[in-house]
Amino acid sequence: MSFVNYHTKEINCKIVYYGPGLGGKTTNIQHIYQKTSADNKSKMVTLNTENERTLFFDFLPLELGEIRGFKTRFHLYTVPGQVFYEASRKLILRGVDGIVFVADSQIEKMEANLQSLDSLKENLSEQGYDVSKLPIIMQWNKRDLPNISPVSELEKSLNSLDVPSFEASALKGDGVFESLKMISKLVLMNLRSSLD
Amino acid sequence: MKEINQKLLQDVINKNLNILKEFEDISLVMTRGDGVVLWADANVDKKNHSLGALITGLWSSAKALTDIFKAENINNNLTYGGSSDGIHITPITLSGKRYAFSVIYKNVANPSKLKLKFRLLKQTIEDSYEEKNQYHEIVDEGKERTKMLFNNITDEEIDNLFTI
Repeated sequence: MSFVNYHTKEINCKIVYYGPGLGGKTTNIQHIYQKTSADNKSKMVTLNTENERTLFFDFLPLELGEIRGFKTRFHLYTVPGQVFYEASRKLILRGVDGIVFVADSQIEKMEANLQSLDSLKENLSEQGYDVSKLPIIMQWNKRDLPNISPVSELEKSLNSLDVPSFEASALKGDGVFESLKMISKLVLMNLRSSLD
Repeated sequence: MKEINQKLLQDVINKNLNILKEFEDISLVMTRGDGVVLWADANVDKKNHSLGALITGLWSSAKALTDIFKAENINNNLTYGGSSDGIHITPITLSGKRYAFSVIYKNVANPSKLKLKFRLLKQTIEDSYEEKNQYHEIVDEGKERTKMLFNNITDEEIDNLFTI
């Protein structure tokens, strides 16, 4: 759940990058980290296994500018994509305000995408979220690779929620900020006020 | 869900911090379940948002681990570190919601005494906050978060936000 501090006029929101293993979640936030000026970011935290796979989460706090008088801060998290880290994914989804689902466009990864999407929906429902009301976007990653599913096929198979989607190549940086901007907009527009 | 009265929380903590006045090299942090820092003392670098994420991760993992073993009677305090340096986390309940309250300590001669006094501080904050917040809750009763904070955010506003 977002944290709006009316006293200091600050907004904190939590965005989680979710998706199958090796799909490019960490690469997304590494690109954001690299392209963000030092004034607007703290150190990126990565909790990896010995072979550089995400063990628990990656975390990047991002200080942005002001919107209508409120200073905004986004906390970006990735989940570990490997199937057996389900318990960690559930913990990281707690209090989430928006999801970027990073799908791997490679044809042979469709099954893994579907499995990950199912787990996302199940984990969100388990925590009391209404999936149809939570800001979610789809990112079709790895569009630079040769053996990829057409976008129409990804839309048909994975975007039953009919949410905004973006083609991306996180390794090159294509589509990374477009995805982040869209989820940020949806999250901010979803914030509820306790002020009259 | 009742919201935390941030100004009241700040006042209550400031009034009771003297409970720990004998300990010099300590920092206090209060975090939410999603890793956001709710309150931190002046010794904590406010720019270090990783602290909240890591504390919450640590505490949530410990809780999930004990759940696996169905350790129902375990207390929820968590200590990590050596005899003189470390971190101690204890749950604190405010407005019916639980948060992680942490003390990070260095060069403390008697950590057990610090932990004891820290938990006394936590109890005092809980009691004092609830007592003083009763008035605010009566005033706020029935006021739900139904209105959107922002309507119709434009792409231009988002672009400006990301001019970083």
